[in-house]
Amino acid sequence: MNQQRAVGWLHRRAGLGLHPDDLAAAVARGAAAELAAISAPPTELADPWAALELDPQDGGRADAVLAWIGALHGSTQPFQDRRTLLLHGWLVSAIDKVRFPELMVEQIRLFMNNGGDSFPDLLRSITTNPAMLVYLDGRTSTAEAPNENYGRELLELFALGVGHYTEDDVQSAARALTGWIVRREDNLAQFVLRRHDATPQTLLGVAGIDDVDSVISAVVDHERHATFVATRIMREYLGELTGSAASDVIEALRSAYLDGDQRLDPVIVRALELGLEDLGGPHEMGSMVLAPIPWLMICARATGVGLRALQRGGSGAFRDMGQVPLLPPGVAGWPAGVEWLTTSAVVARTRLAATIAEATDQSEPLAIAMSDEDFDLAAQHLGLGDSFTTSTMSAIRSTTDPAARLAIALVSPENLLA
Amino acid sequence: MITISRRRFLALAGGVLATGCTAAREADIVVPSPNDFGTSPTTTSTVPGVVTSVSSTEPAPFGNNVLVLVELRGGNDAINTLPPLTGAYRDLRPTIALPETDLVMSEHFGPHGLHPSLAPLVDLADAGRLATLAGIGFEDPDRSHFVSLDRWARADRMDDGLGWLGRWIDTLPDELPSLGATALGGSGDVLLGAKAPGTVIDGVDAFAFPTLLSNGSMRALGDSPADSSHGSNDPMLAAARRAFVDSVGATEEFDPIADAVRSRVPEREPGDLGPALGAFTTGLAVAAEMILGDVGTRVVSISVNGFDTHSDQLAQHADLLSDLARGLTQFWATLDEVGAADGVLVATTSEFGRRVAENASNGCDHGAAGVSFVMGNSIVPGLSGALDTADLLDGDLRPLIDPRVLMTACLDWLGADVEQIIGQRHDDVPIIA
Repeated sequence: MNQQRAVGWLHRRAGLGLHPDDLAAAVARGAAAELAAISAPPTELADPWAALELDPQDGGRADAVLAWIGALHGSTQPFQDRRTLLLHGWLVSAIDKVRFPELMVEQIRLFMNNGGDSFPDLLRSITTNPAMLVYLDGRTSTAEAPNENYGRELLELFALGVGHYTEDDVQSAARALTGWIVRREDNLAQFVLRRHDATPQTLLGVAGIDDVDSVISAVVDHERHATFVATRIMREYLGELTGSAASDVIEALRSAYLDGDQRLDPVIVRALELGLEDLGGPHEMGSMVLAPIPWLMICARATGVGLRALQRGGSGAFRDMGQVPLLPPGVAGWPAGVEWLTTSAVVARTRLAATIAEATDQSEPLAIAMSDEDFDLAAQHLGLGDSFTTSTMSAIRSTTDPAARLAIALVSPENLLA
Repeated sequence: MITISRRRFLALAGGVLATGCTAAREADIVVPSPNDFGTSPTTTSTVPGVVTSVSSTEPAPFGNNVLVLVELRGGNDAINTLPPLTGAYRDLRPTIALPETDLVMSEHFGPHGLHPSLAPLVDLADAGRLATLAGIGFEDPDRSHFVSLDRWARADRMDDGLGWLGRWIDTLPDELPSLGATALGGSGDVLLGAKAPGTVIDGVDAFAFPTLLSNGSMRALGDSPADSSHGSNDPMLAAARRAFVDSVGATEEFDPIADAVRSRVPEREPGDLGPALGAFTTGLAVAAEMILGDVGTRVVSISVNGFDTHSDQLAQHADLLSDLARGLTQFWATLDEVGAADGVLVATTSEFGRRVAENASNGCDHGAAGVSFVMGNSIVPGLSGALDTADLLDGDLRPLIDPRVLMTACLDWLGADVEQIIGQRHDDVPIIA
């Protein structure tokens, strides 16, 4: 296998890109060893917000986002950080409704700290997570008037998928989950017995459901759940496969989930192994469009451009590209695939690529390769294998301005993909 | 958004054409403010009393009718939009029913009042330019946002993965110009055709390539010869390449439109705390400029998020509807003033209405039938259908008017072959006079 290409693929698909110096070291280790290394649980978990006093008003929102972006930019655990981004777009809450940055940050911390643990346990935790209780209205759901918002999305978007539950199941889940509030004084979740409907419900054919634990157990024991998780991980790491390619992958990932104590990491690792096999062999799986945040990190880390320069690109850039951290557009999270490449989003990414190119130090390996017109080396530095496409080469050669050339490389179709 | 992603992929992988794309973004059209990591839907900066002057642009000669779809995304609460004057409305909504004294009363809405935020629409109704479809919704309703959005985007025809307007665009003999089918905010799913994805524009100010890069360079990323070494049949690579060609074309066309919109928006006086320029107002102002700007626009889809009012809905819903009413009246005034309104039809949509009974969070949950408004100079004005609390379907308003009735009217307006596009005509309610 072409290790240059395979390791580049791995860090683009499942990481946040690497500086060319680090990428060279990773290539020397080889893709299999690199996958094992990056997917091993990190020994130390950093808290991006540890030093911050988050203003509950708008200033705190920007501070919280920036601190997270900073942590991604300097990440030494890109595999885990991508998993956190996945969970943020899967078990969704958004700051426009949650309002308090501290609550959103606490939810992201849950994903960071527990994203590698049992997924059913994560579902239990997220069900009574304060930001989630606000975002999907669990905090106002009572025995007298159960609010079915969370119950529905738990079944539809978090764990089973449309078509595998009934309206009665939605209401049963809602009733069994009544009674949780978020305390005003300290923003912690609390169970209030007198608000809870203790009547045993039947959920997905299981009787005696009356609390968080029994709801989640009924859901994760459902035959469909492992397939749902497998499909979600396939879509995130391998793309929208179809036909027998998809069913084979889903079956393999389903087994990885069930055999791996219902943790996500074995499923992700299995997906990446299958992706690497395809890359070195039939190469039938095709490319994926990078979401804006991973793409931005790949560009910034490959050029050695610091966070401050990214801020000059305008904090509205995240919105314009379509992915604002802490603000997923709706309960289904962010779109995927070609939906990232609207006319508007392509313009926004190009603007940011220009900002990064203009901020790149001329002593950076990528800048040197571009100014030496060693474009194949530049492509390697970005983790793109051995060369740019011929159309990107013609665009690069359409100008002599070094910053413009670098910007074109950063926003090139192949660098928007992984 | 699972179903839509898959559908788009299939449309691409089906090999009809690998396209650029439109996004399932629910971000709104906003006027960006500096230092902004993501503006909440309707509270952007800041312009009172916009769009009062006449465009300097001459109206386009109208050989071709234009359709503007306005999506109230999240599931608009129909029953607070158009509260029934009799029946169980107040009993089922002890907290969030609108006080009777606040309702706007008008003969044009039959046995319903009108949400006070929509008062500006009464003038349009008095002029015979507003139709109200009460109880619009598919048979066998589904309370999932995503299933319902999908059914609306595809006219309940799930076989080809395309939007119903995208199917119409596919039937046109010539490809539409860059801004021919444009989504302002939202997903653009309804515009997705097999031949082209439609253009998505999310804001007025940032839709221009950086000066560092020439349009020629950007175009070269997409339209120079395809390549063998990087998988020339990779649909995502093809889509990304096409996105540059589409984007360069769209920015070139949009530039004067954006200037015109900005010129209508006066600088805000210091200390002026008047209402913000909302997403509907901005989107409809852009739509008006596109129609007047002779850029070949046939359909515009404007989408504004925020209608999923499970909790504390009163103020939020009032603000959204107020922005909608202001946007619609200003849009119509702009076109009317230069005699360009005759060729334009506007219709509002929403994936579903909401539960009639309120929940415990001062809001209400997902429901079934909703309400649509249609605006035009050649429509059958007045009310069709009703919101009837005496005949509920599992606690929801019962669907009385199939959305394909509205789609049939829209397609007739565009001169389309309705049967080819949505299977069969639905003429139960006359909408176009």
